[in-house]
Amino acid sequence: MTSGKTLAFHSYKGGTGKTTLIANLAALYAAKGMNVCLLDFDLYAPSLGMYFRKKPTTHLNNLLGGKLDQASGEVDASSLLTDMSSDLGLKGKLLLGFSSASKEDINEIEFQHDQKWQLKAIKRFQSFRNQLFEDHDVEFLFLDTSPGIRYWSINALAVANMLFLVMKTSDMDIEGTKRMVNDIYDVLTRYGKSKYFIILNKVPDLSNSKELYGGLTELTWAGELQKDIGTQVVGSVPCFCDIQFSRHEFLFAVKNPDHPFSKRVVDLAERIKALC
Amino acid sequence: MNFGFLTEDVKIPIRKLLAVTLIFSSTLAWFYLFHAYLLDEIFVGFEISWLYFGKALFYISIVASAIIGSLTSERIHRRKFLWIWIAFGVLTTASLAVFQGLAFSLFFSVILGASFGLGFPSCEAFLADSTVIEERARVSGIMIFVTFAIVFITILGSSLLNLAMIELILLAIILRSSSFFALLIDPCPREEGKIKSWQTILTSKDFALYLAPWLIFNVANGLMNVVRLPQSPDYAWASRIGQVFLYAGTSIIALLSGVIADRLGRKQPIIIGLVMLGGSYALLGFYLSPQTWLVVMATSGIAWGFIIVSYAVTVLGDLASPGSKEKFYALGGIIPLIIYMSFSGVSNLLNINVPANAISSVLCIALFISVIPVWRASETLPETKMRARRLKEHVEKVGKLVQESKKD
Repeated sequence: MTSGKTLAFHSYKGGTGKTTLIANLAALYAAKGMNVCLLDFDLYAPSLGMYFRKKPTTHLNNLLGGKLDQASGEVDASSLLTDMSSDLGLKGKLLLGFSSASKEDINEIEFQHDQKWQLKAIKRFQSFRNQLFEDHDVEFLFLDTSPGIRYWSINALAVANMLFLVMKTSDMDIEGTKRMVNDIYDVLTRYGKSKYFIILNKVPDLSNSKELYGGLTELTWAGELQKDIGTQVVGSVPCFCDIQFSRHEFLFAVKNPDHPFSKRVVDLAERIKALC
Repeated sequence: MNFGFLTEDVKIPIRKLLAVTLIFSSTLAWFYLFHAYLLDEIFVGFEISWLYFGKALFYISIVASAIIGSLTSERIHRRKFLWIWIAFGVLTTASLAVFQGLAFSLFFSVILGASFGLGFPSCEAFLADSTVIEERARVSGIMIFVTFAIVFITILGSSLLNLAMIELILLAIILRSSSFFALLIDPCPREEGKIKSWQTILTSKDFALYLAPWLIFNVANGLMNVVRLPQSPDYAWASRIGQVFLYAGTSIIALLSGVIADRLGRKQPIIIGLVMLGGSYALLGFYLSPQTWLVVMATSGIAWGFIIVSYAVTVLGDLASPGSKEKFYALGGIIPLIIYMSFSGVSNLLNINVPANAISSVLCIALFISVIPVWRASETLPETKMRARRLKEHVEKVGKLVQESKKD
């Protein structure tokens, strides 16, 4: 029985910084010597390819669509993975799997709602995941998912052991996240025993606007949200303009370990590891 | 037996569901009892033409009072209005035990009709206000099922126990007065909104597109009620058994219709009902026999089950705007239904009879054509609700799949 863990990162809306966080976390784990795989499960708007500046020829779409099926019933997904460890000088493995950004492939997956097809695709992914854990010694499998309530977000969340809801602190995010918890998360945990947690991202600097935020601190805000949504807040990351508005943020936490953002992400990585 | 598919996502509280059942189903059951049974009993001993005349008065009174009632209910608090209406119904029914004679029978035909028509649009509006759109059809299906179950039990019980007229009247009183309990357990609030005029409602595109096939359906069924069948024991047997299938089919299919209408949309069950009935009329047009007549009656029951739930209760509730639901139900639901029911009375009065296979082909074509406006009409169950339900079902399915794979 494999001890690899599948961690899915999800959000109610786009723009919460999920991809930045997940890429940095995966790289930090690999930098510490762990074997990590990061898959772009945002099939409707893939972004990891652009983030890592890679243009692979084999995508997750091929795996899910059965194009990597073998006669034995297993999947041959070796061509799907890109190993970034040596490029980035990481102690452990960082394997990446990308989704296709082509319009045709996105359209195909967008309208592929036939349940039989989807369930078969999930089974193929589960077979691939077992290979990752058994053949590639992957310890952590990170899934970057599409925001909102969509078929492939649900599918990715269902196969994960732990779910991390990345959210900002706006009312819209809070209300939407609450709805998602009721509509999806509670149902999934009933079947799969997946646990779910919240990560607050892009938290504004509350000390500058005491009047606006009524004297709240980051800690008390997290505590209030925890009570409001009914889910544990595992960590929070403040908003840093130099990260948020940089033209191409790339594994900032690994390359700039002294930056406050990096320290927060390292702290978050430790907390997530402790939960596993 | 797992009834999860019937009640999944039905959010109406039990108390409210009970209140709606007590008002809607018991009143509708009361109506069916009079329409199918008790009115005949009131005119026993008089010439048959007086019965037909009395029935005509009953139906005309329902139509007129439905219009008056839907206007009045806009101005009075719903709970107060329903109290008065139920009391009126109970007193009218009770009066049958006291007053007898032809003049009183004719008078009470009018009053009984009014005691139903005045408030039934409000009843239906109460059902619509008590349900959210994604559960409305299933709740409506349950109401129709309960209605016919009450009718069936009452008729069966009365024939087994050989109940006299006074006992039947008492039963009818119990049915009507049970609606009082609804007012005790629920405040029966009314969704307020801008009052729409009759003209605005009639000229609304979707209302007209849905009303047209419902009218054709009722006229078609009404015309089939005036057909002249060959006089033989086989046809008499087929008619008797067919009646049972008609009512049983309506009640059972009502439940199915509710599920389909809430899952796939309102148009599917309506189209199924129209096509099925048209098909059975086509069969009758080819070959008239006791067996085909039985098939027609059984298919009618199924078609009624599909259409009465999906259109007469659900679509009207979906289309109706707050503040004017009673008018929608009066115009769109009750009036066409009464047109259907009055066909046999009018034809008996005017001694009209037509051979079954003469008109069945025409009616079959009319029913098939009536599918077109349903196609053209907008689906009243929002696509977002259907999508949300599909996603939720997907979550459950995927969750189960992952759970099973963890066991392997």
